Amino acid sequence: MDIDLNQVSFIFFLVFAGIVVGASLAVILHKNPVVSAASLVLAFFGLAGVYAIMNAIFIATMQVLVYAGAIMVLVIFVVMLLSLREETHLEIWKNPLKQAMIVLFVLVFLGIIISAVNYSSDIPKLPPQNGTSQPDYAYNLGQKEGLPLVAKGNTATVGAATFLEYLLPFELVSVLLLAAVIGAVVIAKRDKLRNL
Amino acid sequence: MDWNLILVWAIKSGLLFFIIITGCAYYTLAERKVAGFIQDRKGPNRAGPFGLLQPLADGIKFLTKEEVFPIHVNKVMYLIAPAIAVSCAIMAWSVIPFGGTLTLPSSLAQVVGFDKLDLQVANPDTGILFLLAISSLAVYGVILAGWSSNNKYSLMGGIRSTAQMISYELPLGLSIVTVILLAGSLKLREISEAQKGLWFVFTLPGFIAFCTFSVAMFAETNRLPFDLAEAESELVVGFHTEYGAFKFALFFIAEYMNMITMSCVVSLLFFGGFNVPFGIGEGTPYEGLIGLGVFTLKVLFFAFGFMWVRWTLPRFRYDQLMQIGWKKLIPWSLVNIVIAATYVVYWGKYWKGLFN
Repeated sequence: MDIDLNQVSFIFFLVFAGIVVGASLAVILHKNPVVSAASLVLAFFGLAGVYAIMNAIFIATMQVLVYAGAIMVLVIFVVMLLSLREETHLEIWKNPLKQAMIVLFVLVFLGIIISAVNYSSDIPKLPPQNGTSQPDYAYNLGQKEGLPLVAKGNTATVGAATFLEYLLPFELVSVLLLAAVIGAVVIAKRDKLRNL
Repeated sequence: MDWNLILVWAIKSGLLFFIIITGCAYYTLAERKVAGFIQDRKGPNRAGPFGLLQPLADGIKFLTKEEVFPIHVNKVMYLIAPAIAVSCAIMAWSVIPFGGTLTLPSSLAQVVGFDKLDLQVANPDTGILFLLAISSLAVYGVILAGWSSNNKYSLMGGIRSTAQMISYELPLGLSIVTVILLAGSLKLREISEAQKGLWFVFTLPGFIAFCTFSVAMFAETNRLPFDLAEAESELVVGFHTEYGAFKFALFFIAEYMNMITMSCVVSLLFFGGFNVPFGIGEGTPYEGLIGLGVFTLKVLFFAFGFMWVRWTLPRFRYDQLMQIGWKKLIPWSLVNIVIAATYVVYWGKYWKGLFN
């Protein structure tokens, strides 16, 4: 007996999308900042699950490794050190003007989402893949000594595309990040630098 | 996709879970026995022959103890933290290959419908990265436990542990990068198969990577000499001070599971994994089983190494810990990546030629 993989992945999509939506709501609605940050980790995790369903295993792993594993640890680290008593009050709900603004914003946002869902039904759907759990991703590198060079597999494809086709944007981004790191050090050490 | 494949996955996962839990239970007994041997005493020997039923007695004790909830804790996070710790520890096992491919006997093959069985639950394209990602999540268990306990010693332990794990993830990752350069793949199975003939630990970049990896490994598992998150004498066991009964047992199990995972990873990355030395039994139908046995032996050796180090070395001071991490290990690993690159491109083939 065969199982329709598209059916299974749809169920998993619903599960992970539910986790993402629920956790994102918890991020903004929960009173306690540490719980909010932990929910954000859960949201990233659910997003990684959605990537994995789309067969982008590399992106899914990176999502967990970089966002959930590295960045959020620092965020929680900082939040943990804040004094919690003052942060937990929800001042925003006491002001009727702000309340009205929030309700208006939510309504507009919901309207946009509903209209987007209505319009998007015209977009042609991709043909379903033939029941394999991992289609072979491939990136054509060109020719070497008369033989075609192909990078096979998820990671190799991402690597080949990054370092061959988009090398210049990649290097520019890394220079930008380096500038940001140096800037952060300069700002953090400003007083000491002045004293020198 | 057929039902029999899914059934095999389910059986593999269930069996793996059973093996890990039992392995952890006996690892705790082994730890106490080895501690006894090193300190020249007997260790637990009352429950069953040679104390072999001690883990069972411990388990029953943990399960039947009263579940205490201190009133000042954050309930939700207090309960979630041990669950995070233990589920991260279990998830890491899903990508570890315990051996090559088993060839099933023909009578069994007719029942299940295929004759090759991989001794691995999942083989994703990102193998070792997946392991790193999961182990980077494990820190949440410790942070949230420390924070939710609402106790200054626990918070201190949590903060120390976070800083330590963030710092040592870098040398850990960088030494894995070296191995990836040498093997040319992220899949743990292919990394292991690339070491056929010459284990990575016997190459210069592989050896340096092994040294940095093994130091970072102890820090990542929060074991002595880097167990500053617990530090009984200063922090009253740190992040799990407020935990009792089965919630404490979960942290305990997670720690031992992480140690076994790291033993598996170090034998896969540097010591040839399930490759049998000198190609013994190659091509016979028992190749998979011999590989499994050899891998188990290697893992047991490194698991013993964890205990050996614990009862031999004293704990580092906190500033020493940070200095080793940032000023020694990271520069060494960075230099090592350059060495590995030159090894792969220029002199690797001559070095390999010396051994074959």
